[in-house]
Amino acid sequence: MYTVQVKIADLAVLKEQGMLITYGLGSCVGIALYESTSKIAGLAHILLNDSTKFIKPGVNNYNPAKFADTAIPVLLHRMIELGAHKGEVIAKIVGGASLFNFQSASGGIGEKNVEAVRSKLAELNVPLHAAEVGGNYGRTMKLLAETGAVVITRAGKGAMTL
Amino acid sequence: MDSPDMVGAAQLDLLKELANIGVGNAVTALSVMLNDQRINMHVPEAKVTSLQEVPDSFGDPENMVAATYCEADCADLGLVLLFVLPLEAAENMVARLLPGASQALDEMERSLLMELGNIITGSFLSALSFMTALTFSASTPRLGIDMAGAVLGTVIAETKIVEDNLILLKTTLQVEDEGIEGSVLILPDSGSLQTLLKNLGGC
Repeated sequence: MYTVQVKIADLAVLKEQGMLITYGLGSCVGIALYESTSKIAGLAHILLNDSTKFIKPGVNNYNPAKFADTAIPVLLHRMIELGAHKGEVIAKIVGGASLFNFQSASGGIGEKNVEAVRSKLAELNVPLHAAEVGGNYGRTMKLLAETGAVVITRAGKGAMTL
Repeated sequence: MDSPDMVGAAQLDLLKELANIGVGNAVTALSVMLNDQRINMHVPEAKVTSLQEVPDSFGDPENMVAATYCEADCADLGLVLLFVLPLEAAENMVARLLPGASQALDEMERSLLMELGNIITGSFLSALSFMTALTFSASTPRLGIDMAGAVLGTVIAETKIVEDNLILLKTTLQVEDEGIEGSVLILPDSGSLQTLLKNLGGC
């Protein structure tokens, strides 16, 4: 199957055929958007929750795919450019785990990421159809353009489908 | 990938030397823990890499690893230090240090791995302090056992590394005859690079 890998702080879209895959989501969140009439799929792998807290002008170039608040609008826009009907786009999200044995002083990044993703989706009126988030283990996530199915695998366990 | 103009070849060489001395000190400490077991250390690699490539630093991002990391800083200078063992190597290491240990890496075994990470990063930092005449304070080490990609992605998120391009120092070490190979990874905060290089007496 035609496969496009989405790396960390990255996003991609596909139409009708093929698969988007992102490996090893820990505290990061994978956001799968899908519009079933046109069979347009989009996947983003975000690292952090809020771009406004981290952008340092002149130090880091602005990559919208790094942050929940900026990645989701860009992903949605790319899908609309491909012909997706905005009102029909749904979301499934995966990740936001806590892999390390105790929290850093700043609290759980995974949780904050999930929270930021949920609120951005709500703001954009994209319904969240399924979520497999939290826990203490990493996940790999695939999004099939044909059906919109999201397949999740984790080390040493069987696959599950959202 | 284009190597951006954030650091020159001479500076990378200096960082490589820093990694060489720091990890050399850490390897000595590890060797003592293993009853003077001989440990081979490879020449450190120093490179500028894009953030997106970091999760692939240990090959397949789905390979299972046991990783300990800590953050060290001194004024405006910050570093992230990671000690990464493939899961099997971590199990072998635990079996070697704690005869009769459980294969499942339970609480005791995890605590041992964390202590090991603590020794590695601590001895690296003491060498760095000696070279730079700076005193670093380090966070308590944290242990994660999962897919390499997930572990590295989480470390980047937790330490809030948001630069598009990073300097990555990687040194591989091997315990002779024991099937144990691990890596020490150092990610200096790009903002503090000049301070670090200045204190090393170069550039």
